[in-house]
Amino acid sequence: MKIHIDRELCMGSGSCQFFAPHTFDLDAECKAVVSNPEGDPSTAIQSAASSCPTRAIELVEADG
Amino acid sequence: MAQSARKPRVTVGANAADRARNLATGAGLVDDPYPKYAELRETGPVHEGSISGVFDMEGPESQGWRDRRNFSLYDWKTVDAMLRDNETYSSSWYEASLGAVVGFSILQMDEPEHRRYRSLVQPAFTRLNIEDWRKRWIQPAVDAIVDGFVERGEPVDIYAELCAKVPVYTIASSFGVAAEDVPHFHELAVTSVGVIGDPAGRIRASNEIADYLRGIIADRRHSGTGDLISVLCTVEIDDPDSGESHHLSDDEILAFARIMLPAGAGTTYRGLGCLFLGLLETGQIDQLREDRSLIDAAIEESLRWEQPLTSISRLSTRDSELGGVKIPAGSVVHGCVAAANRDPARWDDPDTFDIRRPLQPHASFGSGPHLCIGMHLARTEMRCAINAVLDRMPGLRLDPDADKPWITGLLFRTPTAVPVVFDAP
Ligand code: HEM
Ligand code: SF4
Repeated sequence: MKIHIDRELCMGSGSCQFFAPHTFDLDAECKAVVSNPEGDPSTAIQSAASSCPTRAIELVEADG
Repeated sequence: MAQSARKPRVTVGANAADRARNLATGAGLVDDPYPKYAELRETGPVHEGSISGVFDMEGPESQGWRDRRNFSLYDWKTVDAMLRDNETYSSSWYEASLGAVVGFSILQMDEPEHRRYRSLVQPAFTRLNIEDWRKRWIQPAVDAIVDGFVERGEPVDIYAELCAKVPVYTIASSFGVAAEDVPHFHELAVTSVGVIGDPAGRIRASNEIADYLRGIIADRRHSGTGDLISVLCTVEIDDPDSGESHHLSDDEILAFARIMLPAGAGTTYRGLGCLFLGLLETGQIDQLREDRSLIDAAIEESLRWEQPLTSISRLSTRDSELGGVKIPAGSVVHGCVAAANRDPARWDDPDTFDIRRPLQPHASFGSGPHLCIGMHLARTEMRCAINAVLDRMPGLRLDPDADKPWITGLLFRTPTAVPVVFDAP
């Protein structure tokens, strides 16, 4: 799965980090970054993306 | 509130103002709103009218906007969609409620102003920073509070003695309130957020808090101590017109600090109470004793199952449609979080409190751009409190000799008490 984060949209809520802590991190500007695209089970990554308050996370299936 | 003639089964609260507020929000009057919500979800999901109107009450969610048309939403999809669309559904709804007491705050802002302010204060509330809060303020506060009753070794109502105190003590320490002033601060905080009773008393309490905080702000302008007020003194905001940046004014800092009490104290207090009661009533506390890694899931499940705040309201800025119902501009729209959180389309067996349920987002912290900024803080406070109780109160169980407690309320959900006994450590 490819994870794309729109930095303009990201408001630094840290919600993604809560649902998938081994996948998402916050950088010094308080924007989400991907630390490991396979850090958590895909259900956790989906929860992280769906919880994003500004829909800044886009998930693209690897061969889809 | 124009109260119906029904008599409450019980009064709940930390002081007179808190009890009055709980009553106004249905505590003791409505114990189980969920069957009604299920019916409304199935026949809706969108109905004209307020949520409290369904229960023959006139609750705070429609107060201040009586002359408007009200619409209420009862399923996950519609509630989530409404909260995410903050151009159509404006937070100016708060003007008539919280805004009247604490002044204009982030909760009440619309875009683009909201985004600018949120990005200033957000960095103070990251998970990493909250871990620092835990070490500096939350853990010491929880330890001191638990010491108080563990040493007595007697049956205790942990709702009043623990849950009520942790959030206010945490917020007060993060402001830099001196330890000896915290109990008075607590009393003022509870009084200031009352929804009925003497509005002058509420405003007086709120002003006293403001005066106290002004003193702290003046002090931190000179020498930062790393507390939240110091952080707010140093952040800079860009003016979109001139392109110049400036510091937050005293009034801007004050407005944010003042919103933290109503937003962060009563909510976490009730959330903790429901968590403890749910765990003790179902015996699932034993699972946590054996495996502490279940704590985070237990907290989320309890927030889903009995959310501290059951609805979030907005004013519609233009004509729109929700769940097939036309919503005219100027209407008041209530997203029923309590109904969304038990939507069977999203959760199997939604009325059951089950800490092993697969984790997925609930609506208790809201959704969209106003998503609770204190959510990591609230979770951390709850985790600290439950760990402390598991560590310090072996054999914790509901007190068999006390009146059986239950969860009650309409706009807020609150346990009547959480009376417990434990074995000598
Ligand atoms: C379990 C505890 C809590 C619950 C259930 C809760 C719930 C909520 C909800 C539903 C909202 C969104 C309101 C809306 O969209 O109109 C919100 C926003 C907010 N909460 Fe919390 N909250 C909790 C704890 C806290 C704590 C501990 C703080 C302390 C800082 C806090 C501060 C705020 C603030 C400042 C906002 C406004 C955010 C914004 O407008 O961008 N909350 N909370
Ligand atoms: S959930 Fe969305 S807004 Fe929040 S930090 Fe992650 S990407 Fe950013």
